[in-house]
Amino acid sequence: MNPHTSHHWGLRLFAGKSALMRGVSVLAAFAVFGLARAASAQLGVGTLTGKVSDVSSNGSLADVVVTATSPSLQGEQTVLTDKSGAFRIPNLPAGEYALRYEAETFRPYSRGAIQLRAGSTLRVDAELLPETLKAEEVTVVARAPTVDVGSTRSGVTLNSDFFSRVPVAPPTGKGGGIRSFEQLADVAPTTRNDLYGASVAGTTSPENMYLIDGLSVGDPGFGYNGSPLSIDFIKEATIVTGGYLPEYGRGGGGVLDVTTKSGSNEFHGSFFGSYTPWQANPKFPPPQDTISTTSKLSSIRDFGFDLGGPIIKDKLWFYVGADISRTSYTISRDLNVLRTYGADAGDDAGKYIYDSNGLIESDRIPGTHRDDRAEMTQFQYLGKLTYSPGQNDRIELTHRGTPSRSGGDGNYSIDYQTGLPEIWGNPGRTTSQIGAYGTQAWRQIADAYDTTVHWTHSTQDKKLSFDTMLGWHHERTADLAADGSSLGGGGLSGTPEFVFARTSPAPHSITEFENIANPGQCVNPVADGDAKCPVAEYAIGGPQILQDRSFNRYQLREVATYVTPGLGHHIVKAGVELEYLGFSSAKGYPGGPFLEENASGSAINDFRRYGGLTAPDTPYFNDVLRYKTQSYSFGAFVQDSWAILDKVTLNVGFRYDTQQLDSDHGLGLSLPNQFSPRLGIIFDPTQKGRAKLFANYAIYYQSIPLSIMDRAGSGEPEVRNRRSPANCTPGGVGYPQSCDDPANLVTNPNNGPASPNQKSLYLSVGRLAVDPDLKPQSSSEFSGGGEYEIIPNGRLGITYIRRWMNNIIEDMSRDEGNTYFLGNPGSGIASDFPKAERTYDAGILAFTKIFADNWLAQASYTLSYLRGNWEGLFRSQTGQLDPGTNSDFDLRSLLINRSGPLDGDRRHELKLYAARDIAFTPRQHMTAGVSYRARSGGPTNYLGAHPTYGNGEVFLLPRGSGDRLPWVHNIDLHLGYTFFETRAQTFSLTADVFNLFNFQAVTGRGQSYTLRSVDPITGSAANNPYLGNKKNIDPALIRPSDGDPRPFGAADKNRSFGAPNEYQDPISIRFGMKTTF
Amino acid sequence: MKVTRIRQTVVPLSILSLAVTCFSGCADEPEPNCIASLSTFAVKLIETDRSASKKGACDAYGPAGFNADPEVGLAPYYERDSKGQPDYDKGSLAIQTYEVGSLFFYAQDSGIANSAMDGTVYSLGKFSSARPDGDHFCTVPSMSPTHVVLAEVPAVPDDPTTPDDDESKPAQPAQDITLEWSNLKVYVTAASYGTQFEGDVTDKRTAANGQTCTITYHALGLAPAVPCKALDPDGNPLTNADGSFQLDETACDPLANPDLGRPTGSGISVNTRYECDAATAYCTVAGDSVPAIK
Repeated sequence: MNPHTSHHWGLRLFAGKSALMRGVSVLAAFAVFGLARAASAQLGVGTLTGKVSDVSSNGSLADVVVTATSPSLQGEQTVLTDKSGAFRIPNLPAGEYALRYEAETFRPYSRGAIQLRAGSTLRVDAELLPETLKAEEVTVVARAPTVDVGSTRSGVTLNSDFFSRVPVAPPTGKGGGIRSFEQLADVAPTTRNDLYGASVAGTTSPENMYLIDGLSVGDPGFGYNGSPLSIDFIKEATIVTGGYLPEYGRGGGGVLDVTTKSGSNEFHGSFFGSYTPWQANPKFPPPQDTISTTSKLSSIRDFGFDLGGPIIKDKLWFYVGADISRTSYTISRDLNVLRTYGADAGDDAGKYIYDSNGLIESDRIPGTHRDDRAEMTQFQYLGKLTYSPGQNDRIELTHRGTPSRSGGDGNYSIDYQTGLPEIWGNPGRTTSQIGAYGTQAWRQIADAYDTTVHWTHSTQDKKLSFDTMLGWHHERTADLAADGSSLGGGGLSGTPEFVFARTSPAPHSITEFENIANPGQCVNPVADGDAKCPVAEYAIGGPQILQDRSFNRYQLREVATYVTPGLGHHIVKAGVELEYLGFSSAKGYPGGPFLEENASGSAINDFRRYGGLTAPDTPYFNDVLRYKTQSYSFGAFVQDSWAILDKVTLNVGFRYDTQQLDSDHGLGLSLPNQFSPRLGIIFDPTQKGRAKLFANYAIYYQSIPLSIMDRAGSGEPEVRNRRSPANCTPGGVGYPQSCDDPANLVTNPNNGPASPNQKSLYLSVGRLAVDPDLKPQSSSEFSGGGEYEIIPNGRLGITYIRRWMNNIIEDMSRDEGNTYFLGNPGSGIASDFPKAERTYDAGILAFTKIFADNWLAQASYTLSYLRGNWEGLFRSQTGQLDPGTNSDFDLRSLLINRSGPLDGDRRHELKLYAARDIAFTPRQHMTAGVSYRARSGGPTNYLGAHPTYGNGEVFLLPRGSGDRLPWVHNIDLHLGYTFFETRAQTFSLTADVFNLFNFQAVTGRGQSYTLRSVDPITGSAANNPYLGNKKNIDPALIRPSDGDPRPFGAADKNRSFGAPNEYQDPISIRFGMKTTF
Repeated sequence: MKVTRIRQTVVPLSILSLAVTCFSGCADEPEPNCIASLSTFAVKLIETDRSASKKGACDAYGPAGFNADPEVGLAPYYERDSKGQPDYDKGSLAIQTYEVGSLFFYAQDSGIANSAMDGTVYSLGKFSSARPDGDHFCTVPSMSPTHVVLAEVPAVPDDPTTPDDDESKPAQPAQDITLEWSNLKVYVTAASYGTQFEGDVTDKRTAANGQTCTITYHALGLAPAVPCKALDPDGNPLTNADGSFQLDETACDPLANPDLGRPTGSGISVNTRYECDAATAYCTVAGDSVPAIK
């Protein structure tokens, strides 16, 4: 229950009882004439506009006094209608409004219950009755505005009417612990939750723009949402999926624009809490290694409050809130024995026993089960002051903080980028617990603090207004050693990690590292049989890479809006925006080198080590690599929303952006001249706000996150040395200093006789070269469709969207990995690379009914195609989040067969949300809400290994040739009970069940057809390469590329190809409690 | 009520924000720093001068020893800055030939060290600038000399007690080789990132009897070093009647062609004018100067 919707004013109907006027109805025409989205929509304001006319003569009435009031508004706003009878009141905070129209010789008229959403313009026309006309009975037939007839913007706007009734924000995933607003994006058509947030219209979540109260809160380094904020503090959330005007710049995905709650003239507040006590056991694929790990949500609990009210009535309001939440996962570890055939099994004697999916069968070793916890504590607070010195000005000052801590003290942490525990147990994510706590766990810090000052000023007649925003977004994220030591210090931060990783002649056995009750079970009775307790990797010592990063974004934005008549009406907007991003990064491997045993066990290599060479074989090392990068952006836009003769609206806009990135060492990247036009047209065939037809074209530029400069600018140079195990093994004499003793270093076989360096390898030398003709990253969009109000408060729409890439920025190599450069695939010095493509086509059928008459519904069906050879700012196959420098376009030889349906391609998507309130008694009511989301499955591939880039990098057959994954269905339920002490004082209990029927559909399958290096199959052979069934490619068509003359045979096929390895999240339940006053 | 004239009592920050410094088109992409490719270079030697201390002293010498394995390694180095990171503005370059290196390491494996006092197995010099000059060259004006003086390595006979293993190693005659590099310059652009170089090298051989032969070459290098010998199905090089190798220029092709058995490109940058050099059977730059760009 929103404590701020108490009403102290009501609908004042104009009713007379004269029999003469029986039958005269005054239709208050409520055309929703949503005009160009106000830039100050980013503050949560909207506009009320309309025309006043004389009902008897139909002539327009000038100089009518129009007054707007609302509990969300400090004081009241008054304007006069102009000569054409039109009025416009901008910069009104979102909320419920009443308009009163007064003119001499006319009866005053009022209309209430006008729901003004952030960013919308509602047209509330009125026809006034002359006093002389005797009204016997007047019926006001009112229709709530539904069709936004002035905008081509697509997306959804949600407020607590929706998210307090419909099950949203499931407990797992990014932001799950505090029910963060980014989880609401899943409601909009064409959006889909991905690893780092929500992907919109085929793009990836780091490409979105995230705005809270107008401030951009995307992570300056990587692009995902940097300020999680609970939906309890949010007044409205708008998810824009396309068709937006140039005031939104620098994002290639969607826009998540939220406004927080504000105070009001009365004290209102609430206490709330939620508790997620249980999740069913998630499904994991069977272990293929002796060490197996699974994880399960144990509980999430949070408790918070908010309070708002007046300091000076009608002038100064305050709002404060805070919430603390704790998320726990249980991490379970087991040791297993892999099953092998006995000596009597002929050819299979001593070999692994495989199940029908090609996975090795295993048995748990009793007494080795261990449970640990992954914990995260998040605290959020916000404070806001709203001040209106007069009718024409409003100033808002806000400050928010979301500090969080995770891991340490014997617990594992929960990754702040994904919301998943760092030990997840799924292949392709993080590894399982292959070593002691100190090697596997991090202590993670993720803090975000936002401060904004926002001032709107308008002239007395409201024709000209100015909107100024100054904001600061600060983040610190750190992955530190679990013992609390600081980066570059002692303790675990000064202890190198050593990984045993031998594979030949056989991998290590668990018995070398841990005690188990019956070690004999790990010995294969058959000589030379498969290892029964193999440990592919085992870590001793300290943790992997440690990082400490801080980010700052400073933003200044100024927008002017001017309304003028001219063949209709124009709303002209112009703005400028300045942004500075700073990224200060420190990272390093604890204690110096990250040591790894090589495959044959003959040497210990530095797996990673920052450093350099000043002369042949003269290395120095960097235990901590520190680097600072900055970005300066300037943007300007102009747009006109022209209601031509008040019949058709033309939205024309133009935006200019430029971005310069630099670092400690001077200029890194220059991306000027980003011109993006936007053009849209809207026609209302009913001319009454009941329908619309629209079309829109736009070009969007992507602001480049700073991590590209951090990695490419610093180059991350490394020195790698090598020594024999005798001189460098944990427990050995002088370890770990003996590993760096120059007398112990051996010649590295990668250095031939022509190399001045014999012992040290020098890698990633020099900064990434940049194509002199580098073009900024941009995409284009075309959308069109129509909408019609088919029932009161409900509208049906059909839309077509097409989005395609113009240019992307990626790192590439023209010489098979010897040197890299940053460029645009398909143009400039990379014109011999295939052009990067990502094309999204979607047809959407959607129905929306806002909450009225005690029920709401939202339904959409999307038919879409996502094709191309580039996914976006992260790679879903590996989770690699390196915007602009991931491995997609690295080598030309990797690009064969890469075009096809992308990972995010889901042909059919159905989303249904519905809720209903049932009043038992006037003081008790129940709410039932349900959501049903169904998606068809994604594509799968046939992958092989590349001679230098390793597993899973060669597309044996064209992308998407494999069978589709199955449909995934999610049914969630919300039940709520509310008791009303008074209208404002309520108590409610809620229960949300996610995945009600515990469907555990397969959401991922093994896609490596072979672990051997092979060539892609091209030409006509790729059309029908199968032998027998689709799980089997004709071996005669597969050409190995590893230099081994042995032809490809059945033994080279990966047995577990096609085996399910990822499943849908299981059922979980969350209880909630809320008291409002 | 009448609407009063528009009166702006406050000048918002809009005017301040208009005073914005120029961003558009103000900066081009950064120039690369001076660097050389970390892969080895295939070098084509063009003899420019020959002088013998005594008649016949040069009869035994020439580029043949080099051309048998015409690889040269260029290794960039950078000073360490105050933050502990490489200062890419202060680079230097070492150069080492396969011929000299393999002689040196063969001797070292047998316990014989370089007895030259005035040189090492490589030459080292500083880049004269942080970034390439107007012609995209990074010059190393002067380099320390390469000088190896190696005593003869005696032959090692096979151990008769291990009939399955052959421990025999051939003898290596004594060596006294001096290389002096000059006018070394590396071509550096974003498209050819330190993958071509040229320079002059003076190769002085001193025989056991004290006679010297000094040959000066102009060297042209292309990285990575890719052999282009034609091979038989077993992977052995094919030779002509006169003993020279048969050449296969398709081995140099930067583009992959899986249908012709080349899953990856050669690694040579796509914009390079290359040829399969007959003298070395390696892919080198076409012509006699650098850059060799299409």
